[in-house]
Amino acid sequence: MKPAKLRYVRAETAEHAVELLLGADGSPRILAGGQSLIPALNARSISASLLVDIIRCSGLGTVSRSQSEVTVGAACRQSRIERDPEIQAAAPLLAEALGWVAMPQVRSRGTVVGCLAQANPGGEIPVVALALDAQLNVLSENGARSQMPAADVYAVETGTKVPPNTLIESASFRSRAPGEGWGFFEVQLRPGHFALVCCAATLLVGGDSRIQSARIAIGGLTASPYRAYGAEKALVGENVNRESLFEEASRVASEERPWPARSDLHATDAFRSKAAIAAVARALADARRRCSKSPGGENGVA
Amino acid sequence: MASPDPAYEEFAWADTDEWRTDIRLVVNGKEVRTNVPDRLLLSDFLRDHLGLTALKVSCAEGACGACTITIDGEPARSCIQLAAQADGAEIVTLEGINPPQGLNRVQQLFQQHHALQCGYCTPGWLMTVHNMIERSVDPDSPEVGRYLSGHLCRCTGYRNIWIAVRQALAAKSDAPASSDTKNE
Repeated sequence: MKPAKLRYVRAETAEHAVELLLGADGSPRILAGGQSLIPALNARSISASLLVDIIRCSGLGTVSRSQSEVTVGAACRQSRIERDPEIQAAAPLLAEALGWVAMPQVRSRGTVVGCLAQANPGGEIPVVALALDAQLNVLSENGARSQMPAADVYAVETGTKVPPNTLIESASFRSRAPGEGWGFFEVQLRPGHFALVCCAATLLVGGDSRIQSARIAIGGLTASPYRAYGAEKALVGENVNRESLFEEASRVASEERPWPARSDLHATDAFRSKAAIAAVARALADARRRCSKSPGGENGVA
Repeated sequence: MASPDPAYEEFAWADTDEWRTDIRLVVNGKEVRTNVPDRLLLSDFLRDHLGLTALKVSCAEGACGACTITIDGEPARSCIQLAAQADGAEIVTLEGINPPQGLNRVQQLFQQHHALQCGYCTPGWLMTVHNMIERSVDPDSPEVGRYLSGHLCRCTGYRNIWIAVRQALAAKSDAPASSDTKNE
């Protein structure tokens, strides 16, 4: 099908984009890569009176890096971020997860921040944002800027808590700590499909091979992604090895969930719950394998 | 192509109060300047307005890959882009990489290995393979599968496409093949 009648406007700046949203009647929407939005408009499952194209807004196409975080602008396309050596070094979890987002022919146009705004239940990047304690940098009326932690943004069963008529200008992801291991794994119907379930994990181990800190986010299992905070705490001080891995993953995946497991045409809630154990186990195994020596300790996978 | 085919100039479906946008882009090396309805999809612009009908429209949700072209050097779906979004872009369609006559090397390999039957999905595959060759993707790398997962084919079962594509990547060129490759 084809989109219903709509108006398309290119915003010059981020402020201009918000002005256009505020001045529009009906249902204005931000358009970045459009790789989720245009299919939905084609199917007429959503409507838009106005599309505000932000892809050429000054300042939104950049990646910037500080000591502790890496910030990706709203106009940065996924394929570029996936291949960016700076991202691969500072946020390898993000680069790896991008390899699971749709196919190369879609990542060439889709944006990282667009994924965060769309918050599809099977989307990968919100899960990464949770695991990397991301901050969404939100621009609202009269140039007001604020930061929303991903943990708050996705603390709602459907969609996001990002207010209407605002623009997510960029997202800041926590940089990889020295020695930190990361892992991402997804169970999908076929390559390029949305996640039935997926897991993003980071681990830090001490010299005694015991876990010092863990961050585990699960997506697809419930309508919004969530962090398994209880399991993260329980893992501290443990020595995750091949023998205990499945047990740990079962514990993580069966932790009380903020929302019920999803059931749809593609997978039942029971299947998703079991698949989540596999996703967590693979993500944790990769994260553990990639942990390197902490100061004063010895290295090695138990 | 500089002046669009007048037969396609007006969009019969467009309402009189349709929002429209001026666009200027490069398609297969030639500059195109025109004015399009805002809701016009890039795939329909290329097919119906410029007459570039190699790309096919099938799922209109980005899943099948039949409408794949390259935009600014990367393979992309033309059915989930607005023509208005393509302003300033450099676009290549299958017409832009075909030799004036006969088949290019990748097409020959597809023919030899029976990598197509109905042919509806083939132009999309050829654009992705063209881009993989340009990017020097190693035929043995896992990247091959990732790129090819962006296309659906309901005739071949994929095995023959896989064989043809890997041979095409090993040859590292999609220029017309010499006759001695006919019976490889």
